[in-house]
Amino acid sequence: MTAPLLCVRNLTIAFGGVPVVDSLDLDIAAGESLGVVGESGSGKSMTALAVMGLLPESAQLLGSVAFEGAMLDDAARESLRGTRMAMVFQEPMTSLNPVLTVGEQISETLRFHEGLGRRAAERRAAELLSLVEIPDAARRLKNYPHQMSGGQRQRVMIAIALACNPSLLIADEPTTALDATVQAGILDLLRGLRREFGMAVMLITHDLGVVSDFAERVVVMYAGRAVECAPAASLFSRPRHPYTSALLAAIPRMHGPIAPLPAIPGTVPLPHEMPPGCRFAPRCAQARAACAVLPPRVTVAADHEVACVLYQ
Amino acid sequence: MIAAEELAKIFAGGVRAVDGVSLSIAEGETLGLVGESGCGKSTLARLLLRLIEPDAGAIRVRGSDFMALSGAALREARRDMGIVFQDPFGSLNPRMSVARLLAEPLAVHGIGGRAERKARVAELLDVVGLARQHADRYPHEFSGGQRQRIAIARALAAGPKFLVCDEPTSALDVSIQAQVLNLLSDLQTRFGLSMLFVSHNLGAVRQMAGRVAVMYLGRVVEEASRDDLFARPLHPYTSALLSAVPEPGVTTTRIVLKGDVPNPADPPSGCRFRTRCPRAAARCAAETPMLRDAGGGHRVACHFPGAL
Repeated sequence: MTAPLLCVRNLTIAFGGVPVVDSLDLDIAAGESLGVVGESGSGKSMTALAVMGLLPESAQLLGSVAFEGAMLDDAARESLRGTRMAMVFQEPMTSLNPVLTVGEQISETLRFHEGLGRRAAERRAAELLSLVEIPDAARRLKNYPHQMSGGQRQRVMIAIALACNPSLLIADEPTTALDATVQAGILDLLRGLRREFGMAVMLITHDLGVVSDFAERVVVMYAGRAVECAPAASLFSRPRHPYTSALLAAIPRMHGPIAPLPAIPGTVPLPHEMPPGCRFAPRCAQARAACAVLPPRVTVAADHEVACVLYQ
Repeated sequence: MIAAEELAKIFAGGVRAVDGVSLSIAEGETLGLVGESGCGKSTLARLLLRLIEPDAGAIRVRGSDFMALSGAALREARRDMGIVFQDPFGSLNPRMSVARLLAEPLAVHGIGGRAERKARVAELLDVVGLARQHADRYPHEFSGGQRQRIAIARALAAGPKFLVCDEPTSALDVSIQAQVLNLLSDLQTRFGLSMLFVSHNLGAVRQMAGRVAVMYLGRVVEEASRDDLFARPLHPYTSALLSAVPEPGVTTTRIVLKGDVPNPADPPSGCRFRTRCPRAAARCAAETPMLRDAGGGHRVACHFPGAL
């Protein structure tokens, strides 16, 4: 890989001394689509917020984040956020201001970051709405968020994120609040925009189906750590980490025979009750004594890394 | 067990949430009800229990008129019914201990004395896979999956024959969802429950239901056995819905629908799906398609049924 667009090294995020993300390494190449997948408490959203510099002030941060070759500090994040990197959240209803029209909200970004005048910003806002495939864009600019459907609101959020041609778009559960048929449309849109603008997309989701559909490369997180990182094709055809395999097996499928689901016993440990060593060990069918120490990171195939003693 | 005919509910503003739905669930059968937000599936589930009163239509429970009941007779009939909601945080009173939460339905129905209720609480905890010492704890002390187990135990407390599950795993993580689905399957077999399993998650519905009904904008558009519906959908909406669900490691060709779901207060004439249907023709606007048997109990409401 050439110098990555985003390079996260040894990232640890803690609250009150309790880490919620632990020693995370993560790279995204320019134009790449990376899926970050995990269940509640895996630390996937915290990671995104850390990259964007949007963590609450009480968060303690260790490690480094480099973007386009430069180390990110608070000042750098401030100037890059909304311009070179942008973010889309899960809930388009609460991330849009209900008392401003969508046109005003898109224009606001353009005037703030790009210094456009009112007229120019309005013209560009209409272009952006067409770009995210909202029909009759000029008229829809005058709509308030409540006058749009959930899918359209998410398209507006994407339009705002695209306003300054970012090279990295972080999408945190962008389709989780949406119906399947609407989700399909949003994923198609993101795919098209990525291709058109050569923008890298970091897609954060709990849905392995969405990741499989969208991402070229996948990081699987569990309880604050990356447990497996691989090209999507390699991960889904041959998952190596017992957590990844167990998670894939626990999904009720649309095809094939129906049998009781091989559920994963127990629950994710709480941040202050993390087991030493491998954090999945207490729920893992293949756990052994060696799991009591920090699992090694093993490269098992091209670009396919897994943090598990089974592969040592 | 339960049969509804031409059920309808119109909410304020003229929203036709449920508009002429007929369905029946046999003893020991699980009917899956799928559809997207706003299609009326949750409203329909509540109408069947009369948690919301229908504006029109008939409901028969084991052959007798459920709509005619009121007061004590209605309460008595409800002893045979239970419901599990989506959100195990909102559906359990945070000020009640698990023991009280589980004993309350028994008290409401006047089942047993103090000692018997206490024994029943312990039995219910066993049934849903919780420990007996959990009885003295409060909802906030449990994880989402455990809370849903408490909600299931509460729904089963009075020994119902008919259980409605409204998106019971939608708020849960995948690994916990599997535990709860397995539990519901086991309970269904063990107690011979009739079940209405409402979900937008097609994989979960396939896992749970022997028969599946698909709703769109207040109407059932297709109903068939599980295997028929998933393998040979006949309604264009069902085809699109099935194709839209991404499955890990599986590449599928998607049928992308144009536009959004229309306003339920002002639905399109004729077939309500026609504004988004790739196969829509003039007849679809003029004439409302009725749910018809296309053979083998596979019912579809479409003028031009068949694989897309």
